[in-house]
Amino acid sequence: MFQIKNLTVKIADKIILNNLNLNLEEGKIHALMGQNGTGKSTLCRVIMHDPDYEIIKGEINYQDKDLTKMATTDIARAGIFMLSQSPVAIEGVTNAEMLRTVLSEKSREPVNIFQFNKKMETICDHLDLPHDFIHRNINLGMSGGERKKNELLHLWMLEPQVILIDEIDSGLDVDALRIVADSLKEYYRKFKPTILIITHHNKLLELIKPDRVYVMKDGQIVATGDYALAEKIENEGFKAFTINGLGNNE
Amino acid sequence: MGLEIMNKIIVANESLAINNTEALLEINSDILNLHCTGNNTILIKEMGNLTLNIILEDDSILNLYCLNYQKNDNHQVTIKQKNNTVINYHEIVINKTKCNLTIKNELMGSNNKSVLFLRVLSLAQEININVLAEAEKNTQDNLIVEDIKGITDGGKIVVEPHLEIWTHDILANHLVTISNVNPADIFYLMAKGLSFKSAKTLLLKGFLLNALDDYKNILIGGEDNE
Repeated sequence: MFQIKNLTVKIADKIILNNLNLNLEEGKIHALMGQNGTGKSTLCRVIMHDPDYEIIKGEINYQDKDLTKMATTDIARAGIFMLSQSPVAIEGVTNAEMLRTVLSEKSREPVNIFQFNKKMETICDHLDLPHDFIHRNINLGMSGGERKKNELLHLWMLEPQVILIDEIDSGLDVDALRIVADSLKEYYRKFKPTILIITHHNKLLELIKPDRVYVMKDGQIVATGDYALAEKIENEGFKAFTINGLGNNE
Repeated sequence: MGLEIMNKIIVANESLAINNTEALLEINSDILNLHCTGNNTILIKEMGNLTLNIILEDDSILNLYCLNYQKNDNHQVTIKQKNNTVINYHEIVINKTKCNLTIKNELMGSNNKSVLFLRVLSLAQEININVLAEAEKNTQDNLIVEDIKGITDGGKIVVEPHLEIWTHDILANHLVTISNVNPADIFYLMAKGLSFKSAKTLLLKGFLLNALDDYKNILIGGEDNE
């Protein structure tokens, strides 16, 4: 179980997450929905322990460890992976160099270059990416869609057990969204990870059906339900949800 | 032609004339007056306290590459361009101690091109860079591009540009970007599982490798020279 307990977080004196509680059952697909500025993306970054955010109180428990007390590197090495909506571009650092370093640091053994390259090429083919992406600078000069596929390349190479997907559907055309969704579904079939999909709308969820849906408002979960809740939001919008009005939509 | 098989010229005097030369200069004096004709490519490793005075005669080209990573003191470079000349000045500096660099570009004639490309990594203390460009009266069709990028990791970089333009017919660009190692980049790499130290090392290495990309023909050999 991935469990968030009473989490309160601020940035520059503004409370973003307010006594948030959320349990993510292992091996299930969860969707977190909400309007802009409700704290959804903050939650992803706080789980990864972004130093820009200050945790005032609360715990994030995973495999008997409190992630709030761990460094970002250790959280990633524990198998938690964030797919960002707008990943940074890094000049001079290639995908291959970064991934090789991560894998060798994690395993404390040198990476077998032949196997590494073979795997990278297979994943590129699967994502419909040219093989030169392997040696491209991380996200540099890539379109929005290519950046997201590039992040998926990292995902398949690192094989995490918890995936935080932060609005990966934003800025993707229909075809690119389908490739991303198909890749995530295939990854789910193969590795059965716990997935948290953060999104504004239903498009991605139509392709990857979540087991649980949560609605977030003002830094709190205000409704929970199954996929029907996502469909309700698509039809009625977020206005119906208030902190005191709806505790559980089931 | 790669660095290992590049001609090496050991310079003991204060003057050297080059014409259609590709060479690595090993300079054993504090002053060098370099007189250029024809098309030249020169590499200098470690300028130290050198005062380098370059004169480009009419219709000459000089591609000058300078790598400074051990002895960074106070070197000064003056480039005088007559007519129809091109200078591509590329310098990489990694400093651990305080140092001052002065690069002065004098456009004495017309139809000259000057590209001053500096990449600086400041690991400690301060590095001061003075870039001076002068274009004389009655000159025309000159182009100056100053492209300076610096990254600091414990040090400080100060760039002071000076332009003295006495003509209406010139195009001059001064581009400077100085930053620390970007915390967002560090976080991104750590969120993939890299340690803080490895993340920073990769970023600094990436900055320098990018700068070295322009040196690849001279360092590992270009097609024309194979």
